[in-house]
Amino acid sequence: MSERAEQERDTGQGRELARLMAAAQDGDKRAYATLLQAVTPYLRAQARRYLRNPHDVEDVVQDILLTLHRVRQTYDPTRPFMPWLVAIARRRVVDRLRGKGRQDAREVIVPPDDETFTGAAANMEEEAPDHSALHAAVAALPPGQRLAVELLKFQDLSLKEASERSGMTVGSLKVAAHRAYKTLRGVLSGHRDEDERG
Amino acid sequence: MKTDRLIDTLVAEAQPVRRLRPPLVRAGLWLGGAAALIAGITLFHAHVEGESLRHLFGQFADPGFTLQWFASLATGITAIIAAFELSLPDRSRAWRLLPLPAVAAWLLLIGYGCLTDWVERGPDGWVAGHSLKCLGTIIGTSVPLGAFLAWMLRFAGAAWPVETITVGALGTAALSATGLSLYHDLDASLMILIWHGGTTALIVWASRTIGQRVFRRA
Repeated sequence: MSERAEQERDTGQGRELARLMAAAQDGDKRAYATLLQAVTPYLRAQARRYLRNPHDVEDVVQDILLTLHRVRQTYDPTRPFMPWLVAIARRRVVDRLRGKGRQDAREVIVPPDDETFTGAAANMEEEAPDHSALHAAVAALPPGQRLAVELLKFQDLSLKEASERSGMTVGSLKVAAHRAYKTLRGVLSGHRDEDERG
Repeated sequence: MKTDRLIDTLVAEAQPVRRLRPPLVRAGLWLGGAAALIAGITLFHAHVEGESLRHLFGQFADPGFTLQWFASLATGITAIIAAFELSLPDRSRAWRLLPLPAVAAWLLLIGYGCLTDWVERGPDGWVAGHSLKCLGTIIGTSVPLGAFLAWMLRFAGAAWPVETITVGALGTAALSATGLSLYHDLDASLMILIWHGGTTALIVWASRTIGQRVFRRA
């Protein structure tokens, strides 16, 4: 889009917003809703230029909308709408940044005394292992092998108990379990390799 | 609260509003009110002290006094106009410079008065005594004027609150000093500088500090 066409589009939008605001001042709620919904994405984009935290961005957008509401009688419909909105938005963003500055000045940064290892990763709390891949791999095993793993490992039964429970001989249980471990090892290590590559 | 819900609430609450009149008209209204108040105090003083108005205005025979008086009046008027313009979000911030020429002229004229006092009277002319009454009268006139101004400029928090407060306080204090000149004699220009200039600076400083706190809390 050429610069001129863009300018013309902006002027058209500005005029539409000015019309909506004038109608809102006269009490037209539908026009007011349209106006607020139309300016919110723009305000959010502007706020994002100065604030990183999405919560701060949303807070400041709401702050701007509240101020706009409170001082809506100061808008003069014979003047452009956008400079009026931008001045209000800028003041709220500046106030938010100053407030953050004061907050940062009052808060003490605690040195990381709890970190005792030189390796950064060693200080991280270990995440709970992800069992979903294991369960999926077990579910994919042939029925005999799956039963052997479930009885011997998940339920922690002895070979004799497992044999009684399943009706399989101790020997066939051993063979099924052995094959199951081999398959699982293959599946899970392959999975991990994929994770590391990704 | 989600932004969409906030919008719904604001729309539900939105009653028709009366647009503000142009800032110059509102500044004119305020200045009219201030003129009435100062005229009232002047007449009251004339009555209490049993002096005729001719005596009060007799000082205008002195060109130094007349120039100073008009400079403080110009400071008051331009600062008040600037305050009404700055209180609206979409007006240029450059309005805050409007009272500067008048302030400069006012201070220069008082300073020149000090110099001529020195030349005419020597060091004795400089210790003309203190005048706490001045302080009291300027603050006493400024407080009701300032409260009325603060009410008229209550939307100023949206854009340039500190600038608005500063020029508003300057205008209020300058007009109080203008009124004071009519009914309160000061022997020497240095006293005028201290009491008028000093009180004006004090009022501006106090208003800025209080205003900043109020807006920070809001």
